Amino acid sequence: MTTKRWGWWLTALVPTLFIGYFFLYPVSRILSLGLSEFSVGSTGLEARLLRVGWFTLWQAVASTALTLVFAAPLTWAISRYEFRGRRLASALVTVPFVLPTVVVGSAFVALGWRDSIWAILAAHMFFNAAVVVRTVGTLWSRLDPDLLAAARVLGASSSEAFRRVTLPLLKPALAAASSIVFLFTFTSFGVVLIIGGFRYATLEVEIYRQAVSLFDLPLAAALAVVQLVGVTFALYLYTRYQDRHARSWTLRADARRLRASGRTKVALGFAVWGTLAALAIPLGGLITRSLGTRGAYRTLFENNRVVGVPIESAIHSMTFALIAVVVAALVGVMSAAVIASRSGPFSRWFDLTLMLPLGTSAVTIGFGFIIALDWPIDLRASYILVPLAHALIAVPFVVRAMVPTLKAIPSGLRESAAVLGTSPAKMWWRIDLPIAAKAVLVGAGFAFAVSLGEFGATSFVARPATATMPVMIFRLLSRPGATSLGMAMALSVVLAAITTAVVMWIDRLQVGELGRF
Amino acid sequence: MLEVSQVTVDLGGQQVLKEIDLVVQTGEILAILGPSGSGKTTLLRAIAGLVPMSKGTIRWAGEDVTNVAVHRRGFGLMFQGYALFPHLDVAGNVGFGVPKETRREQIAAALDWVGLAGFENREIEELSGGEKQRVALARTLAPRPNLVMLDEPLGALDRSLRDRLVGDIRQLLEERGVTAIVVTHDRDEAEAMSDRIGLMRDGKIIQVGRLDQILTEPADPWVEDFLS
Amino acid sequence: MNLTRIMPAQGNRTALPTDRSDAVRKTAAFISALVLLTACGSPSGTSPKTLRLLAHDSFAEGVTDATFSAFTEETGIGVEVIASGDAGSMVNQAILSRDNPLADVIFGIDDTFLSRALDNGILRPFKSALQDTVPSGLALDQTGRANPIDFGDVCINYEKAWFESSNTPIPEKLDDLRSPSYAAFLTVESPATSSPGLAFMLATIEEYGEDGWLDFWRDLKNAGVRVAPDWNTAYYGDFHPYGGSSSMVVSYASSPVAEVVFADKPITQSPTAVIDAGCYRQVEFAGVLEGTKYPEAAGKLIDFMLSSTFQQGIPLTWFVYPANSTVPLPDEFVAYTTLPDRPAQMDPAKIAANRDRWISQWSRVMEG
Repeated sequence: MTTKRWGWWLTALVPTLFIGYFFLYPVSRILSLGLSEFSVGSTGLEARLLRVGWFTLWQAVASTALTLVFAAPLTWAISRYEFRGRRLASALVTVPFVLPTVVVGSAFVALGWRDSIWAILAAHMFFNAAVVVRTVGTLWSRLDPDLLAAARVLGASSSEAFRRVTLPLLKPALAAASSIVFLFTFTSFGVVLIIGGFRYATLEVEIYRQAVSLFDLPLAAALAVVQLVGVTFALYLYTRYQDRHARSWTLRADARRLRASGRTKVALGFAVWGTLAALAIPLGGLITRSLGTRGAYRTLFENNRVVGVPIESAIHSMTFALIAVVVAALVGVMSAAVIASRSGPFSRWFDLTLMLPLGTSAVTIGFGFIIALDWPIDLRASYILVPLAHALIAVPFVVRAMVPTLKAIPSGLRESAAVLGTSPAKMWWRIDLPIAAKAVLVGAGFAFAVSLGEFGATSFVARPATATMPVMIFRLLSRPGATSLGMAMALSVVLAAITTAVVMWIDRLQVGELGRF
Repeated sequence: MLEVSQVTVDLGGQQVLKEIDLVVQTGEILAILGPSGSGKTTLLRAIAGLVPMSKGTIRWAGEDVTNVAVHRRGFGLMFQGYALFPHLDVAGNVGFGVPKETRREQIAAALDWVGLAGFENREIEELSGGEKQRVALARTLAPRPNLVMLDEPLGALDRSLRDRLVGDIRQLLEERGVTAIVVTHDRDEAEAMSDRIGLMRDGKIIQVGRLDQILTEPADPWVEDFLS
Repeated sequence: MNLTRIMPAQGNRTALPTDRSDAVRKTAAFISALVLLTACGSPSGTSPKTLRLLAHDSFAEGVTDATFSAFTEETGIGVEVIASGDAGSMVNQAILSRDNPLADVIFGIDDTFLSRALDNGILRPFKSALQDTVPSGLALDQTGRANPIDFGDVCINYEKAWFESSNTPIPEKLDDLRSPSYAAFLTVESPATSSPGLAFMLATIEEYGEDGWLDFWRDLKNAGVRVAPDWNTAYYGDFHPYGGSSSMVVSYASSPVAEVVFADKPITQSPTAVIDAGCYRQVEFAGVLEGTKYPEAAGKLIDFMLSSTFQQGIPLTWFVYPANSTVPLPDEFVAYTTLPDRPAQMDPAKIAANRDRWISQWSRVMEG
């Protein structure tokens, strides 16, 4: 028993140190610096705060709900049925997730979807559908189809069976996906600024305005605390829910998908093509513009005296992403093991803390790094800081993808292994990990995508002048000229292609192969 | 009376069931016996309406139910792995197919039949293998289906438990007077649980009859070989 | 793109298509730097191996191996550029890291953030000898700490073809824009989120004064002006040549040059031009950061940035104008655009004191 405890604490130590040094320490330093000078001064501040806070909250709730609805048909199609192009569809849906807001922003604006709350909500659906499709899809494809069949035989119509059986079983994954989409939209910055126009401001936008444009650190810190409190409260509700509702049930180690026929085939076609078409409308402009410019793709490979060789940014991005994935997977797997193996307040707060970086403003983290990370060694402006910042944001994806699956591992399997004299560590290695490997891959895929597309947080981190793809795209987009636009669009298409290829490759990896080592 | 005629099922470009003809009399218990992969499970699923058929008809009490949706056929099917709903407790599982008005009584009655009276609030996870099997049986019987189909009802249990339960199941089915089809790959089980046996191989019914009849007049050498 | 056409005489390095070995070498250097994880600890001594230069992203991303090679050859000191977001974010990072500075030299403080940098004492006194070459209008710091390096004029750009085909006269003064026949075809950036947007707002304040500028904006709003959050949304989303519906957009005086240089097929005339009204001159400064171990070397780097070697590369790399007036402009800048006669400028202290209020007032008018 004592060795088991010991191992558990040891496993908890690495993620704790990681999150402590790279998140809690810098953020608390910058917040205490700001708050030490804070005084309730200007009038009308509370009214503005209330207005911004309320808008932030309701648009996040609405965006999350709409994203769930929008993503539902495609999730159903790719987790329940086998069809040609299924993997491609599931990879393509991740593309919007990595595209920089500046790129999609101009596409939305060109379509006339701008300056309104509807445009903001539509953009949030567009960017976050992947989170739902992939998180919920993982669990759904592993639900025993006999459960649904049993419900039908017992007299339930197909919609009744979905409501009474499938939906309750998907709840943990639905909650996990919703929590991530909520955090993303609660802290939305680029979408609100670019697509929403100047009328709308979330707390994130307001923090940026106060901290960067006006350098009112006390007020920015106060806003950041409000944001953190909101995020913590939402996460508290979520982890409590997860604690209460996660039960063990049998998941298939392999996904079992059916072949559709007849009416189902038609529905499937609508679900897949409809969703992809909706996603493709803003992307269409991107491809047209990249192809409409003469030699846009060729010039990506040429040494251009203004930005160097643009395609080199792809190498930088991939290297950073690789490091971020490794770090995020390590920290994430350890964290998930800790959270899933024991419930109770510690696990709950541990889980919650890991999710916080997703809901913390990029400015707060970036400025925190500047004042905190020069000890014990000066990491500020070091190469490693960028992938570490990415990993910070990617860890929650690994954890969210794994915990529902780990919790669903039937205890019978563990018991029989325990009877056979397997130690807890070995048991985890032999039983939990192979089953969770697929979930790790889903998490890793997201970590990769997060790192590849991340722009907001990195832009507040002081760093060597090494352009990643989103940074290069932004650079190309911030100067006039047809070639500039063409190259930016071409590089965006390359970014999309790389994402699709890598995500497809990760999806293809089989659990069995991983189970071997 | 269940009449299956010319039932053919294609799955993934392969013919899994080939022109099956089968009749089960009302109140009769028929066992389907055959090696694994012979199409036994698919046959049950086709009768239940879970698998689309490329040819053939299914009639119950003279009425064609081929195009009747799964949930309106009034047939019960107990799945091989039981397929118990993990998010519901025992009562939630057993009462799933029962209308609200009579749910409580019917759950209690069904649990009583299988010897699990008072198990209503137990979680599925907490049950032993034998208890799960009986909950699955209770769940199948609770809505009082016209036809009961059991797919390897004893498959996952250990030997001693199987020996005990074989008799129980037969008794239970006979007491209720239900028409039933039981799928198994074990000759002794088939004999103990049923009135007649249908032998299946490669998606075809080879021979139907009582075990002693089949043993005296095997349709072909394979039957003789398989049963010995 | 015809690269030889845009190559100015002053380049240290010729732009060659597909310089593959260079790409491989740079990638290798990048990866080895990652592996080594050398967290920038500089050895002490009077002459460092490398100087660190804190800059905003748009400067940092234009830096290549060639940018500082002449400096390194001359002094034996390498230059490591640290990117730190936009100009505001950069100044704030420099202030926050005052006690243990991130770099030795800072570049890219613009006139709107100059007061913040000076008031927070992040700069050491250093006045380059080459400041004599800088026009007095750019020397906004009287304390001898901030050295102007470049300037750029924010101006309204218009599409020539649109005005020709619709037979509309080119507006000559800001007042012309009050009419719906112009305002409805103009896109401006929000001063709250965009640097050219802020500059244009300041120009209107200079033009109309505290009493009149909001009336001007009220008229623009009623006449249907469009507001975009940032430059690239305005230019690539709203500007008519790129599929939008505005024939005028707030951009830079150098934008017509970039339209020629970065055209996808060779052209001899810019499709856009600049309106000589409502322009605002932005100035960018460099300074030696307080707390540097190498003040002398840091000063040398600023001298280099004002020297003609560095200055003549500025226009075609960052599309701003060199502060050193002895440096000739590249032909493209002479041929394809005009500098406004009297661009507005404002005292940095005045901007710092009023920026927040002005932006709030502007937002209230435009939202209402």
